[in-house]
Amino acid sequence: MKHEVSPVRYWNIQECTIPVGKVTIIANFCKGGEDCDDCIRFCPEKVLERGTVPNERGFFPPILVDDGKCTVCGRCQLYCSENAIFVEKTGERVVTPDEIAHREENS
Amino acid sequence: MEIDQHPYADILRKEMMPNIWCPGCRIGRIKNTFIETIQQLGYDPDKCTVVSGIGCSSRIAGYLNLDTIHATHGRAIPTALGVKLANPELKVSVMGGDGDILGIGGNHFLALGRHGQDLNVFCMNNFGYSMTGFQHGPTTPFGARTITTSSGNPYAPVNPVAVAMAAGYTFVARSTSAHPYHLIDCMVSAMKNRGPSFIEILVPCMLYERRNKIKSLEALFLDKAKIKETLSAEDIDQSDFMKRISLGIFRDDPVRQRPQLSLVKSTKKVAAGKFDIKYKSRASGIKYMQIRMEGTGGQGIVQGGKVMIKAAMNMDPKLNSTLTKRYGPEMKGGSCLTDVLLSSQHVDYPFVDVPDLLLMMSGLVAKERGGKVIINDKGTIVVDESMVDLSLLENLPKTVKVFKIPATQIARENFRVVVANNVLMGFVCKTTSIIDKNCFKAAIVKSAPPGTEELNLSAFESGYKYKKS
Ligand code: SF4
Ligand code: SF4
Repeated sequence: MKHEVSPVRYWNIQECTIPVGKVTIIANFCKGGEDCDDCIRFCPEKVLERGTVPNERGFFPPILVDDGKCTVCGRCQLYCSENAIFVEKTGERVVTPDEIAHREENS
Repeated sequence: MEIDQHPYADILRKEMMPNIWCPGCRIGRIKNTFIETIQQLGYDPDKCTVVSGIGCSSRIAGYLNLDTIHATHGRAIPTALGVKLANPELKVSVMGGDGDILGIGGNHFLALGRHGQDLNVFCMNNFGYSMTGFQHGPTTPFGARTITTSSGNPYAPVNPVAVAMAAGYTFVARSTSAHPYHLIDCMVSAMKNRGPSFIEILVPCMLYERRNKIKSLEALFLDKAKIKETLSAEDIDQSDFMKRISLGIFRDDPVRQRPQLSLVKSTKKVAAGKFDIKYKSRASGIKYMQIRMEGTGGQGIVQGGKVMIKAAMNMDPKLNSTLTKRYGPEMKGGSCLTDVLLSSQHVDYPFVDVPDLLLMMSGLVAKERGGKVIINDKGTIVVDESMVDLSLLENLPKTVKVFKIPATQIARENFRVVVANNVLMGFVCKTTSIIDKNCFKAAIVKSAPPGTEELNLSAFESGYKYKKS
């Protein structure tokens, strides 16, 4: 059985574009640190990293290291138990053949 | 607020957040998959209901902005069943932990398989009672350390999937919190299945990890779990989940059509023709009337209340009515009372407060109350003087009307003692003239056991004709 993910999250193969998104982190909700870090671990694009500034409850919310790279796959949003992170699609960008080759190598 | 832009914001109860689960607990993720499932299926959130019991995972109901119920411990399934029966349109899901669904509510879990109602049971199995500090529960693995099994659990765990298969659930699956996309697939299929569905969701618990020195159960699930298209009987077994976990859908069956049962035959119909009593319905003008029948168990107090309520409904079918009965633990000889409420509006409280009409067949209830007879100041009392100590009625206000008939004596002399309640009914009908005679008679024919209609009717007539000599 195939799961149906909303069409925005699919890559547009014909035009060789992929979605670009904006990641929002609600720092106060986050329970990041040793125990969680799910968004960081499961992000296929390695967009996130554990932050160094604790939030008001003493946890370390993730920070964005490379804003443009998020592909709006929605994993962080689904995996985060605290609903402390979500993504919105803001546009699309063209992928270069180099990048495709690079992705295929690493996959 | 940022949370308002969250794609799940519609279904999240934002004022309750941030949530209370431990850091590293993945129960919140199950909530996310449930929201995704609803969004993917395009269900109207107003038509989805979540019922949960008590426990960590049962908190999910509190964070979903649907119509949710947080029921008592273990009783999530019967509560959900009630919701479903009341409104079959709703998609009702039960969220709970292993302790709630398999431990405390184990019998309800089995019974749902038999009932075959379209409920979805999502059971988050975290191997013990985690909310209270991790006591061992029905699914605690053999040898695992918990608060109550400090040197290793000596009992074998139950296998939720096997139990659900045996109980007759039409959809059975297993997934883990580390495989949310697989879980969404399972939830979508479970919601579509028209029978009782069950998904066992393995979730890591921090307390279990710490006590058993496991670094990360989540990593273990990711490592050991295999999602399989076709599952064999061996995959159901999961006694050593540290080595092997099989995920997938074990069963997805259509609901079986039930055969028509022809065991119950009505014997009532035969006699009905002979005593076909015609009555006329009319507006009774009753706004709110409280009727109480008091007596001793065995006098037909409940039966009398039933006749009363049926007669009233025969006369004015527009009335709303309730019947409640109270009796002690003794079958016969204890105090017993029946409350009948007649109202032109909806009844929101089914018990009688202060009766307008009191039918006393024995003084036992009043005696238990310390000799007090509760009656409205302008009310009416009909009393069986052969059974009630009349001194009880001495201190009543003058405005209360009292009618006396030796109903039990009449019944004993002319018929049998058991029809004393109908003698009293006849007298009530005559003296109070609230309800028409024929309405009463039709009600008596309907409630009398087959073959005794004639006896009951003549008892009624003799009560109706009674005159004080
Ligand atoms: S998954 Fe959520 S709670 Fe965990 S670190 Fe990421 S944002 Fe924080
Ligand atoms: S949406 Fe996907 S790519 Fe973007 S940050 Fe989240 S996990 Fe990473």
